[in-house]
Amino acid sequence: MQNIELLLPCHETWSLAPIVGSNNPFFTLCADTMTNTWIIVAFLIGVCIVANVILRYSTGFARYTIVRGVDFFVDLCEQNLEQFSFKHFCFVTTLFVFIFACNVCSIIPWLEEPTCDLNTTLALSIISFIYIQAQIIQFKGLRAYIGSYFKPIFLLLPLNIVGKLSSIMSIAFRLFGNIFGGALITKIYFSAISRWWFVQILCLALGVNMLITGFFILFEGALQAFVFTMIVLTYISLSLQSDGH
Amino acid sequence: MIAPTVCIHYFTIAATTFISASCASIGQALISKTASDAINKQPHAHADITRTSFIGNALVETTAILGLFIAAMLLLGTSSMNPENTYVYIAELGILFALCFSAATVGIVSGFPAQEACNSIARQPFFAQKILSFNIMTQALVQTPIIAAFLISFLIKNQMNDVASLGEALRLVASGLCIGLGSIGPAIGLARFAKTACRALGVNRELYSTLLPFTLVSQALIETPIIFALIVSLLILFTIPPLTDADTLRGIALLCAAFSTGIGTLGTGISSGMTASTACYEMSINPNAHAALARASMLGQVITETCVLYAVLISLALIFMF
Repeated sequence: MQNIELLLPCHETWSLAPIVGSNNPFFTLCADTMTNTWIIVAFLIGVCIVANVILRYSTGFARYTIVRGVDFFVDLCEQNLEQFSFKHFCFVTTLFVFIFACNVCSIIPWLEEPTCDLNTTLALSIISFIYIQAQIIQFKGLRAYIGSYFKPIFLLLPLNIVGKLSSIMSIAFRLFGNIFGGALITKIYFSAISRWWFVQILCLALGVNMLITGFFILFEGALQAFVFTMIVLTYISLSLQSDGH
Repeated sequence: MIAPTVCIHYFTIAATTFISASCASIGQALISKTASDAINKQPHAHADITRTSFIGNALVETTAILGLFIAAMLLLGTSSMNPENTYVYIAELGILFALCFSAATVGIVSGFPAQEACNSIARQPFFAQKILSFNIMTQALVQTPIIAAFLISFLIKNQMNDVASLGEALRLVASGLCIGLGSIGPAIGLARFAKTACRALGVNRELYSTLLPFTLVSQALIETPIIFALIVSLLILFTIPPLTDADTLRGIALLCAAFSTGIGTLGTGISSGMTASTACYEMSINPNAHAALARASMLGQVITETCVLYAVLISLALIFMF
């Protein structure tokens, strides 16, 4: 059973019990996930400040890269929503950048992916879900929104609710499972080669380490961040279509 | 007198090798056959077609190599096993189930994209380099199930020697069955989609830049059921407290959980692949509508995959509430 610590990203927990006054496990925070997320948020804020300075004062390769990156997301939003909307563009791009940073941060030593923790992905998908529902209510009105739960007949109410809730879980589980599986495979690989020093040197020299890290962390991380973003974008575009017309 | 347990042991070793090797050889033969036909159609592109079929064969070979690796690991790494302890040998069947289902499926189907890539190169000889790299990417993604099954086999092998009761043995068998059954449907769906994507590239080469992101997203969506099966397998492997002889019923409940998720992914994987491959083919015929087609296909896939989640929820209930 020595493998069990591979599965638990939480080595240390913070309890909010003295503040809240309840011993419920809901109020226990995972210290590793929290600190990793804060480091990533601080890093992203730093990147934003640097990018802002570059956009203001520089005209070179760096500026071109940033503009192309933003253009890519503008195009993505235009294609999927059929008209550009700054609000959705901001939401979707923030999601992508944050999830991408979370997925690939384990290439930096001493950092672990926050998305390896189901709590992070569940939080992200609940945020997206609430955003999408707010869009539907804003676009169709509260009455039509509640009415949509009773379609086609009122007996299907529980099924509709389960269907809505399972969409949260499917997005969260998809991101969690992919990142978690990739992290597990890389951890097992590195623990397997660390037994003999000559195997380590051989794998490093042949580029097997780079191949495994590149595929399971960088490629898979970017792909899953993109998939999460695309699914949210598809749901948003669906919420903006009026039915029957 | 030969103990029947030892027979199970050697049968497991033989079966992992011959199933993975024979199915991989079927896939390779299909590629080589189509490559010959494609050279017959377009003799001037023979160099590119031969290269594509070579690389396709090498990628299909991965399945056989992984099967060989597991067999060697079982043969060399289990010399200290006690023949009196029947439960260890029952647990070893988990590795057989994990590897044989996924190797049988992946070995045969992962040749499909390379076949269509050969045909596409015969149709578009000047676009061979792009088609080849596209084929390598899609074919590598088709092999996700066998990597997941390999991972689970490795973990079962790690835990196998501590097994001391029937419940524990059934737990390891359940873990292997879940990933083994769970990889059949998504592997077929992935291969079917990759096949159509390679064909679409041959029909309309202008499509490359729009088809690439769609392919990546669609393949990530089709392989989601495998990820769910992997999660259930890992939960069965790591979160259950050690089962004693009195807990055999709990082991049977875990087997049922494995069946629920494993068979639940079958239909979803295939139908999700069908949805995406139809959208892909329509895109090649009608490139102007690609955004609408991609949106419709993705939405259909996302909603289809919710169905696996119901099976997974029942599995979770069987794992944790029983």
